[in-house]
Amino acid sequence: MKNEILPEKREYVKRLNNGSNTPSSYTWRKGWIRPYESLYSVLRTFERLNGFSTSGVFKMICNKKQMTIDNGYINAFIYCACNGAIETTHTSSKSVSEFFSTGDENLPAFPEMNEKAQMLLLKEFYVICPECHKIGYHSWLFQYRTLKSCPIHHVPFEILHGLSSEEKVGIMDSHPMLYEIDTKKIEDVYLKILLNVKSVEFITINDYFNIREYGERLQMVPLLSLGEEIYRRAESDCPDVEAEMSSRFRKVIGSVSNSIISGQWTEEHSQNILEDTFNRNRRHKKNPFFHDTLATTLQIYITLMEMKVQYAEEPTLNKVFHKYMCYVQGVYDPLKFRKLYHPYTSEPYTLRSTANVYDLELAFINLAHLNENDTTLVAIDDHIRFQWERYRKLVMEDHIDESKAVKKLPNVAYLCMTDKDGIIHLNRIVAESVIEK
Amino acid sequence: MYSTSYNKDHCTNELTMTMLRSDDFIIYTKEIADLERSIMEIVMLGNCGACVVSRPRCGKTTSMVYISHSLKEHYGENFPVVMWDITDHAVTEKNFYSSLLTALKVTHSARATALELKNRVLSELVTLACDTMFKKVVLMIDEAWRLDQKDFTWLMDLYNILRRHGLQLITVFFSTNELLDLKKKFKAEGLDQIVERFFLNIYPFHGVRDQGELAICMHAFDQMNIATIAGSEEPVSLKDFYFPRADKEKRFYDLTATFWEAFTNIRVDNGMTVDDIPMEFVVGSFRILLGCYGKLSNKSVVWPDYKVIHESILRSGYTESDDEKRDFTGKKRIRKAP
Repeated sequence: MKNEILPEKREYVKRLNNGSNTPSSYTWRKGWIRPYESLYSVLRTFERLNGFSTSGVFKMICNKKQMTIDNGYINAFIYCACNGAIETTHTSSKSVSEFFSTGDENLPAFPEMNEKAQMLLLKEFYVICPECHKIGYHSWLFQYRTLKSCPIHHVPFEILHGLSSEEKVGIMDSHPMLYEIDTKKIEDVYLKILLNVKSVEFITINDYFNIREYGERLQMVPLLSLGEEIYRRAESDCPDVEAEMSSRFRKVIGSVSNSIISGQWTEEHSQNILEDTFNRNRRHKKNPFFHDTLATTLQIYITLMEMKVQYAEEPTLNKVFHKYMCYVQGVYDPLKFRKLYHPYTSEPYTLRSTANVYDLELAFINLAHLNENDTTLVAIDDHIRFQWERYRKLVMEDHIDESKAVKKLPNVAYLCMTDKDGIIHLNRIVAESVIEK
Repeated sequence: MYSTSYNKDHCTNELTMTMLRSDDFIIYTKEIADLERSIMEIVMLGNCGACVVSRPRCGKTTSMVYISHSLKEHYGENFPVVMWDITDHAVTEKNFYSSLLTALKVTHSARATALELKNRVLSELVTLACDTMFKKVVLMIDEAWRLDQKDFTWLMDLYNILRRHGLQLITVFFSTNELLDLKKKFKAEGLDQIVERFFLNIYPFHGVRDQGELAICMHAFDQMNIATIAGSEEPVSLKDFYFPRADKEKRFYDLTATFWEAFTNIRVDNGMTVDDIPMEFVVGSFRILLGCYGKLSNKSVVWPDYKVIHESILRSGYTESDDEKRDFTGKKRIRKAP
């Protein structure tokens, strides 16, 4: 036989690598998560492409046997992106978010928001762009309150009040590999309004500020430029709030004690006030949790007393300011420290009788440490001073009756934003339209 | 684990025999090479379908496995080639999609409706097709003669839907010659939409037809090493392991003429009409040669001669292979006249 029928070096035996033969229960590619897509949209796509029922998806992802889809379920997911969800109390959202996580924390997502910031900036209903919906896409940015129409298709958003009105989408019409979505225009919106914002807290000093109504009137402007910046510091540069406030308190009390408060004011009184303010929780003595202190109440006193000292030499102004203090504290004797130091009650902060500056819930809901929360105290300080300027103008320049002037004061709130460089910005928001009313 | 009494050589023998029967060992025959070229061409052109037909045991399934790997080598590891073995089934839409999903290695609920399963199949095919830039999925269907007319209709439906979205489903049917009967039946019933989609390209597949092709197989056996437990030892060729006392210069390749002569004589002696030797019997008789006349056998020989080769071929069942046609129940049909 001739050897030439077998070309040299030709391999006539093939060893094959058959790979894995394990069947998979689902098909998913991380690349199918489109830019700015909400976790809800991703979840729905996953559900659709794998032919799962909603309960089937949760059974697989969260090991939950039963899960019915309702509005609460949607709300937990529509504001979240896979790479970083805004804070939610929904127990399943964390598992779902982790399941679909791209692992890239630098991808855009809604900034972390406290509850009030969500009320201000986000729509309370699930809105869809009908054109995006047809191809199975929903962006978390659609939920931004100021965005009224789809940046891609320029059609107004439709509000879905109930899930029954959510139309089903076909597989071949919505497979992420068949339809590319040009999210550049969504990106433009993101860059315009939310760029660099890592987290947002909205601080209201009283309940008069209508958060939703103000949110509806917000314009498409960068969030960081909203309102007037009154304070900024580096995130890592926390002040020693207790030391600063104690120093400020002792200084101002020294100026006013003999003439205004009491002839027998001693260092012991000051020490009692400060201990009662900061040392309520011994475990966190050096930097107690904000809600364990009466720092907000003390801040009000400090600010008022500092202003009082400032205006002591001007009788007319002093008189008007006293009225303003009564209004702020809601009592006729505003500097008696009733709220702070009350020997017959173990819960002094329950004496909430302040008219305009009484929202001590600030302290209850705030779970961060005192030093990291100095912005709240700065906001209270600014609020009292800002409102005083308006009040003074109304009474002394516009000659409006003191009691009526109070009603004409604008409602003021504060946006506390941390940018991606770790700088905290505290911006004052003024609901000016209230004055017009 | 093997007991201590089961010595290392026996273990190696078992592993080697298993390996020779598996897809780990595929001889790149001339038939496979030709078919590979044809299928590559079909995939390149994006044809809807093709049929590979032959009599049983010629190595269609093995060629299917080989070509699926060739396609992946050519188009990239992600290139989707789905191998679907058709078994006897009740012809329902749900069974069709469920079986296809199993071939796609997708678990699915038995309670799902046909529509849900179809959506799942479509979703999976789209995913696979879009995994590469070629936007193609190759579906290789083994034992395709078991498909019913409705199965072809549902297949056509998938093809059409994918096509509307710019994706190509290329179906290659591997079957015995019964598939050609099916084609005639569809043609007679006027089902041109099926015939013209799936039956335009028909490729006959054969066993070993001449001595040169047999030589390729023998050469492949020379290239093959034994399978060891850990795989860490120095590679030992089949010849050195099974026939250690043979002359060092001896090769299985040298046995080609003897093998061919034995096959020819057996064919003549048994009045066999088909002139190709199914690969199953080429490899089978070689395995018998190694296992029954190699060093571990009590009939071991120094080097195989005509007699043991002849015996090995007879024991492989080659004489029973002349079933030109089998009916759907597997019973023999009347042989073609010589």
